[in-house]
Amino acid sequence: MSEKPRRRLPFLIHGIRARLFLLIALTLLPLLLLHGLIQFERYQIRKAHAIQTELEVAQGIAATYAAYFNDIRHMNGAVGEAILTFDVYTQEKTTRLLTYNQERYRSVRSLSWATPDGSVIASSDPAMAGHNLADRLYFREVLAGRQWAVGELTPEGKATDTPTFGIAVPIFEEGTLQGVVVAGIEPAALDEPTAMLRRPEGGAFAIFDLQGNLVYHTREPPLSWEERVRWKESDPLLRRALETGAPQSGRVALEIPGGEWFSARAPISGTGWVAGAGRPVQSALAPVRGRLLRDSALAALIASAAFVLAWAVSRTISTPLQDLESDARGMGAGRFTRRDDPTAPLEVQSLRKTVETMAAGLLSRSEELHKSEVKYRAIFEQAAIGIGRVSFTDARWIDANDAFCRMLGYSPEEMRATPWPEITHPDDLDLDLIPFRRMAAGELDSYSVEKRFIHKEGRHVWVQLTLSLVRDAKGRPDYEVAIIEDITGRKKTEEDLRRLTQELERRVAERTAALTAANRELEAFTYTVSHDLRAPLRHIAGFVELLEASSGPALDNEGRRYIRIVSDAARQMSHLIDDLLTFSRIGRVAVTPVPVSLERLVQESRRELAPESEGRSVEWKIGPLPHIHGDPLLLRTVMTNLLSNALKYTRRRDPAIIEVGCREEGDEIVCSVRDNGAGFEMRYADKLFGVFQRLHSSEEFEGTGIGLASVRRIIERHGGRVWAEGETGRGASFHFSLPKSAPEVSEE
Amino acid sequence: MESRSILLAEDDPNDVELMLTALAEQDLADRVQVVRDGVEALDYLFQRGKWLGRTGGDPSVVLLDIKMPRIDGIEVLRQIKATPSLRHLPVVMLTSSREESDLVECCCLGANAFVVKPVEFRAFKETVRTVGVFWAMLNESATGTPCRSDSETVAPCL
Repeated sequence: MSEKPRRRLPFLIHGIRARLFLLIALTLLPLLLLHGLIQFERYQIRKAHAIQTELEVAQGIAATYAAYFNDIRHMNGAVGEAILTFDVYTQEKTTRLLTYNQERYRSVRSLSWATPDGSVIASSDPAMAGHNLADRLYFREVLAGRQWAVGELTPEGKATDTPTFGIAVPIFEEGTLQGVVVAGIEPAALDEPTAMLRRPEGGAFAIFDLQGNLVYHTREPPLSWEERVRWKESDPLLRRALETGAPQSGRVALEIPGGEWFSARAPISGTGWVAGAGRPVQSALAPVRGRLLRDSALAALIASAAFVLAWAVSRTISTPLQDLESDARGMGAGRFTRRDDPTAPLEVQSLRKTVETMAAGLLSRSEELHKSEVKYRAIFEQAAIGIGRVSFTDARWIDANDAFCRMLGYSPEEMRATPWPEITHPDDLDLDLIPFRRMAAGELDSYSVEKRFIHKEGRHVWVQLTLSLVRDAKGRPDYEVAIIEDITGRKKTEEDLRRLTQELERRVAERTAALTAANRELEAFTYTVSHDLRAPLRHIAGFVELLEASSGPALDNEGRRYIRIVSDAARQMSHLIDDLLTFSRIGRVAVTPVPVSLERLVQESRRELAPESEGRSVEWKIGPLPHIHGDPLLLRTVMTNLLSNALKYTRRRDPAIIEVGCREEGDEIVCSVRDNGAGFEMRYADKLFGVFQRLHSSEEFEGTGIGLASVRRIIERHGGRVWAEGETGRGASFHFSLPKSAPEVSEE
Repeated sequence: MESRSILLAEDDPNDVELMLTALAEQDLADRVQVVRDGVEALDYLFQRGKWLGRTGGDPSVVLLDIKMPRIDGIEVLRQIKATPSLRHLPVVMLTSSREESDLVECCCLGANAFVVKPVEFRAFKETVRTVGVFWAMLNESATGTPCRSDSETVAPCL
């Protein structure tokens, strides 16, 4: 039943709906990532493209200005050569030539002719006249031998207070420097070569002198000198281009004019100057950003739609589940509801069916349980017998029914608060405690004791306590059920009975002693009888015989008859005494059963009785006779008595027929002695075996009436029975039965 | 051949007379020495008291009535059998009834026969004849040969 509990995944949210949403989100995530990647790629491409564009623009600008400056140089050279061709140098003619050429370029503010020492001797700008240009860089460079030079931007010119720079070309004649033509350039008018150039929105380009100072910028308003100088401080591309003389491009943050720019810087060949092109990042990436926004919005829309759909779908799962849950909770509370939910997912439908089946089963079972509980509760509460349950942990009563509480006089609450040893008689404690501990250890499943509880009022209550172990589902001892029966009454009865029995036993003992004494007296009496009565009798018989012998012939017939009567009477009395003694001895001697051959008994008896059958014709029919169990001496007395009787009562038959036979009947062996003698009347059959009971007169058949009584006594002492059948004049049969197995000897 | 005496210990004079009458028929009566109780019987046997210096030696047979005054027959029997010089004497116990305990005790003590005196004189004579002839005449020098008799009133001790 036990299953390894599933590990909780801490990151996993638990609701079905939440999980469904998570699933959707997880599905959408790669798309979103792809989307992001695409956007990033797009951005990168765009950026590279923009920078490349700027580089190309910068190189184009550089080439344009290189050509422009070259034009001016050539113009300068041409002007200088022209001046040298003059046959006669004149101021006026030179000035005219300079002015004419100066006007060809809008950016050339002045065109001057200076002597090799720097003095301006002629200029398109009259203000220039008289100025010395020897301090200018370009002038120094051409004096140093360069074919031409573009000077650096200066904060102000010789004849102007705005920044300016010059392009100088030395003029030689036969290797001797004749003069220098210098064009003074107005930076603000440098848009001249690029006037046709259109940059995209926000795009700009600029020119920097060999110091890196800004000379011209397409978009910026005229900048202060300081700003022109400071530009390069925030422009690493410019600095690198100046240092390396190679084109540079990249993204820069410019302090002047401010903002992020995709920029490129390319050297203007032959001048040491640098051309720059740039475009604000903002504007360059605007289309990319626009598409990012659009695509993101689309993605968000799709995701939202997916989530809405997921929500709708999750409702079709979670709602049936919630319904099922609420129904199940209802079923748990006992309200059974069966419902069809065709829109629910198949699994939920199947779950619902399972739950319903389960709940139906549970409900019916719980109903049965409830009924059973009510029934057993009623039995428990209303039982006339005490019932309780005992905890093994503290030996307290878990509960006790009414009958038990009443038995001991406690309330149920008091009962539950009391461990049973506290209300048990101290003498009986071990009686219960030892098996209780064994039961608590699970070694004993039930036991029963009789013991005394102590009633709340202090008196003892005798109970019959029957305890049964109840185990829990795992088979460990849980508690014991006690059935308590008040046996105080029974105990009292038992006590009374015991006293009575003792009393009775005492009386029986007394009586037995008395009887034993009486028996002993009787024994002494019979001994006396045998001795003391027989002696005088013997004397009577003896002396009568002597009398007859000595005086018989002298007596008359009457006298002799008297003597014979006395003699017969004495003999009769002697038999009587002998039989009585035998009969009484049967009661006194111990019966010792051993296997006895019945056949041998019959032979011995016949031999003993031989004198009685002397001279008679007796036909003996002795059947096969078995071994029996009994006392040989006593059984011989039985056989002798029966055969003697048979002989006696067949005295008048010729031939006398005497049959002896035996047969098995169930657990007994039945022996019979049958004769064809005088027989008897059946209605007197029960008198035959009584002492002194006779059915014939002594004259007819002599006898003492003790023989058959002795037979009965002996057979009964062997655990057998005797009975007789007969018919007057047609014979009699006497039967006795003996148990097959050794009989239980009865002492009389 | 010198006839040895027959010692009869019997207290009842009637019985003595009957016994003597019966023995007379066997011509044994004159050999009978009658004593009246156990004490006299022992005196006779041990030749003491009034029998001091008697002649005739030991009797050929001793007939002992069980029930006698002073010392009964069983005690006499015990003393005879406890005395080496007398132990060989045949002893016949006489009793009025076949009382089991007497019979067993006598046999245990070594009595040679146990005679229940019959009531009928004829039977009594027959018994006496058997016993007398057997012990006093035929077994003149008997030294405890077991007695065997067909008579129902004589129980041999085996």
